[in-house]
This record gives sequence, C-alpha cells and structure tokens, in this order.
Amino acid sequence: MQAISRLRMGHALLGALLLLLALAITIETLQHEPIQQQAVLGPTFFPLLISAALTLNGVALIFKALRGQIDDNEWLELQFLPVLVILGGLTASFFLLETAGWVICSAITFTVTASAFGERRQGINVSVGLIIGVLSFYIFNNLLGLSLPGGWIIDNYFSN
Amino acid sequence: MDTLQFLLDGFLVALAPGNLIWAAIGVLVGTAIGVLPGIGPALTVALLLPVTAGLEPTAAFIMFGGIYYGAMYGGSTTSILLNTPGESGSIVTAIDGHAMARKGRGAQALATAAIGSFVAGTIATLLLTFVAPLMVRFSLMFGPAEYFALMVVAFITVTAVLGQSAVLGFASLLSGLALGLIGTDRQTGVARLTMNFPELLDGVGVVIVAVGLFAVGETLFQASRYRFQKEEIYKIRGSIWMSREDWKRSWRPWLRGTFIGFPIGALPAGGSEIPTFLSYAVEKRLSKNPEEFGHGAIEAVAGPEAANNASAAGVLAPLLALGLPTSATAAIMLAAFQQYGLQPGPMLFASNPQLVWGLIASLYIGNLFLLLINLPLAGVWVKLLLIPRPWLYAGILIFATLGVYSVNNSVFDLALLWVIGLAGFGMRLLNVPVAPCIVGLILGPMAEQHLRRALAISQGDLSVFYNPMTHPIAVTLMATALVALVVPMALRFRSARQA
Repeated sequence: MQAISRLRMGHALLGALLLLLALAITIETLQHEPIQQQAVLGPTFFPLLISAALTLNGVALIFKALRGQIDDNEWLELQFLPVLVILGGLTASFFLLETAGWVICSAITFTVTASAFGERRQGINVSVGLIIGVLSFYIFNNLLGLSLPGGWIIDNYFSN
Repeated sequence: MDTLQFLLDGFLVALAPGNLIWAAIGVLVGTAIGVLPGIGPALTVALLLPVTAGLEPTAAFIMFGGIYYGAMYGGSTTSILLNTPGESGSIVTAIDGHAMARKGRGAQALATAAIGSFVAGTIATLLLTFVAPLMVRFSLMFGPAEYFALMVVAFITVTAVLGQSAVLGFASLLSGLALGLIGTDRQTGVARLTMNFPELLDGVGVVIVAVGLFAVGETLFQASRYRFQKEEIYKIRGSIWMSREDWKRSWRPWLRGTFIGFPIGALPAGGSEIPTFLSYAVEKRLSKNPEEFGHGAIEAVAGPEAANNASAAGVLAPLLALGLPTSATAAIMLAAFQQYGLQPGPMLFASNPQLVWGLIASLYIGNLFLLLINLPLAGVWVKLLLIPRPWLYAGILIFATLGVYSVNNSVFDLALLWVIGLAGFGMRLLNVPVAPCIVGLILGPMAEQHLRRALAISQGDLSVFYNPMTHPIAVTLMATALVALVVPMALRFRSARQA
C-alpha cells in the first residue's frame, strides 16, 4: 500500500514542480519591457506558450495522480542514504576543485562514490581514485590540451 | 552519378591515415564504453565532446561516427551476457539474448548480433548515402514554416510514441524546452530567465544536461538500488561459432530487421525502440516455432539487433540533411556540430562536402572494423563487465565532472550538473523518459526562430500552418504531428478501457 501512495505522490510532486516552473517563467517573462519591433512575435511569446503547456501538463499529472490512474507495481525498493552521500561528495569536490586541484577532487569523488556503493576498502578506493586522477590529469592536459586545475600541490611542487 | 563521386571523395578523406586512426579510436572507445553497463552512446558522445574541442572537425566527426556505431555493438554484449540493456534499443535483444546465454549459447547470440549489426549497418549506411542527398534536395523547398512544422513532428514523435505515459513524456519535453529558453534571445538580445547569472547568458549547454541526466542521474539511481539487485554474468562456453543452422535462421531476420529499422530511424519517428519491438513481433509471427521466443530463439536476437543498428544509421539521414535530431544521441551530435560553428542541413552538404562525405564513408569503414574487433575479441570486451560496480560508477562520475568542467572551465557548470543530476535521479524514479528533454533543449530555440521568422514573413498570418493551398508541405507535416499525437493516445485509452 505504501508503495502505491509513493508513486502517486511522485507524480503529483512532478506536476506541482511543473506548475511552479510555469509560474516562474510567466513572472520572469512579464517583467520584460515590451520592445518596439517590427517582428510579429517578440521574445515573450514562446516562453508564455511553453508556460501555458507546462501548466496544462502539471494539472494533468496531478489530476491523474489524485484519481489513482497509475500502475502501482512500478515503484522500486530504494535507499536514499547512498544518494545523499554521493551528492555530498560531489558538492565537496566541486567546491574544492579550483583550490585543491583535479587530482585531489577525483580521489574524493571516487572514494565517496565507491563507498556509497558498498565498497568499504577505503585504502584501495583512495589509491585507485588518485591513480585515475593523476592519469586523467596528465593525459587530458598534456595530450588533449584541456586545462584541468592543478591545485596547490601541483602548482607549488611540480610546475616549472 | 554525383552521389558516387562524392562518396568516392569521402573515402579519400576517410582513408587518410590520420582519419583512419580516429575512426579506429572511435570504434574501440565506443565498443568499450558501450559494453559498460549504464553508459549508452548518447552519454559517450556527450563526455567526449568537450575533450575533442581541440580536434579538427572532420576528424572529430569521424571519431563520433565510430563511437556511435561502436556503442551500438557494445550495448548488445551487455544485454546478452548481463541482461542489463545499456540503451533502450537493446531491451528486446536482452530477452532472448540472455535466455541464449543462460543455455550456454551466449557466443552464438553475440555472433548473430555482431554479424547482424554489420549487415544492417552496411546496408543502412548504403541507404543513408543515397537517401540523405534526396532529403537535401527535398529540404530546399523548405521555408521557416516548413522547418517549424518538421520540428513539431519531431517533438511529438519523440515524446508521444516513446514510453508508457504521454504525460510523463511531455513533462520531459517541456522541461527541455523551458531549459532551452534560458539565455539571450537571438533576435532581440533580450536576456531571458537568466536569474542574473552571467554564466547563463549563453544558455544551458546540451553537454551539461546530457551528462547530468545520463551519468549523474543514472549513478544516483544505481546507488539507491544496488542493495536490491544481483547480477549474474554468463560465461561464454563451448563452440563460439555459429552453426549452419544458426546462419540459416539468422540471415532473413537480419535483412528484415534492416528494412524495418532504417525507415523508422530516417523518418523522424522516434528512436530505436520501436523498430526493435516491431522486428521482434515480425520474427515471432513468421517463425515456425514461436513458442521458442522468450526462451532463446536466435531470430529474436538477429532481427532486433539488425533493426537497432539500421535505425542508428537512419537517424543520421535527417540529422545531416535537415539538421533534425530524432534521438538523444543525434541531439548531442547536433550540439557537436554547433560547437564547431557548423549547422547540419542542405548548406553543410554544399559548404563542407569533405566533412559530410568523409563521415559517411568512415561509417562503412567503422562497420568493418567493428566486425573484425567484435567477432574474435568478444571475450576481451566481456572482461570489461568484471569491473566492480562501485568503481565503475565512481569512475563515471569522475569523467562526468571532467567533461562538464572542460566545456567552459567553470565551477558554475558543475553546480548546474549537480542540480540536473538530481533531477535526472527523480526522472529515473518516476520513469520519465530522458530523450524528449534533450531533443527539446536543442530543438526548442531553433523551432522558436523558425516560428518567428515564418510569422514575420507571413505578417502574422497563421494560415501558413493550415492552408494546404499555399503551404502544402507545412500543412502535411502539421497533420502528421497531430496524427502522431492522437493515435497513440486513442490506442492507450482503448486498451485502458478494455482492461
């Protein structure tokens, strides 16, 4: 029973999000000053059209969810903790990327994600993450001309 | 014949040693990544797009073509041996392919898939060679109204036909269209929906959205599910060659699959799912022993795999000739063209024949490479399935970060990736299809330009979309879109009432 209500709730939530998006687009679009121009359609027509369609779609989703026209067997068993752990790891590595550098951040992303998937041997996780970080840093920066940030270790000790 | 001359020139481009190496790299990378569960061709091209920014466009597209075809081959390996289809086109292959693997006939399933893909890929590339120029000629009659109508067709077919629920498909499409609004309006210079972030003035990149939805969203989904799933890999045992009987049962499905797959891919009729299901149904009906289907019938692997690859080639025809992507992968390839400042369509055939024909010629070569590296080396690719899942997904996230950061060297893009990844996770939970969002994102701004231009030319007269006397092509297209919208809905409604 619980599973049924979850999937319905998800659909209703998606519908609500679409309505919010429609509202945001409408408000933002109406803030623009009307521009003098010869074109028949200005820059506000298409956003308003999409916002109207989003509203319709959102209402339809909520309506279907409330009427219960949703297949109940499709909801899967889930764990949300690993998802939060991975998102946390990504947040940390994104914020550290331009100070700590690519290699460190790869190692963080790799270790956190692998442990979220149940690989608990942290020593190996960190080492593999570091190896991938160093290899990708070298290959992509030196051979393919990207500029991944080195961070303070490489900038201070390895650059010439 | 003009076309043959162009194709010959294309082979000269594709056979230049440098380009031959890029084609080889493309098929190797494509196969390897296609074999990995959870990564399909769309994500592969999206991840490699920023990385190849430094390459010359012809070389880059020859590599993308190889990746595209290679990922199609690799995907069948995963569905046969692991029963986890890497992309929607190989869902059908997984049914009987995996049943064959359980019976110890995995090698034969892989072989009929590889040879079938080669046969289908080659015939479909041949069809592409001749259909694309015809499409170009046809599209010269197109004005803005016709282009807009064509894009409406693409929106509807990508959305309404695919997936179980039209409401969810449209939720995805409209979100993509809304994302496409962000940025500076191309006609008036007005900044729309940028929320005062200067980073958003250029719009939201297709790469960020594709990587967010496919890589980050998929990884989060797998992380939430790994406790509840168990995988079994079936080893290849016994004779690896197809018997005379296997050949006899395979060759007709290959050909039928090809001729089902190519037209559906080439007409904007929505991706590779439909032809594979159609081919399965046809083979089951024609088979002398339909009861074998579902329990390892070789026809049920041969037909759909051929249909899958033929439709992959078919999708390239409207992409190259009209600039119209009809699948997620094609949408990302279009973004790749735009990265080089190129716009696929009739002009590209005129202004850049080297690139277009070099790409088409390299597809023939890539197909041959793929047959060579897949038949004898199947066992090597299978080893990739042994990578532990925690490391696989951790690695995917590293490369997702790398790809997205490298587009603009911007941490802002990474924050956007985070948000879109979370949205992708939500979409995966609710079974919202991803392809309409990506097609909407890239086609939305183009559709808007064409609509505004069409109405500027007609001075606001909407009859360009419904008067068959003045605009027969546009009206036909609009009618097609309407049919494509209404018919599946009616069918769904009827089956819901009967149930």
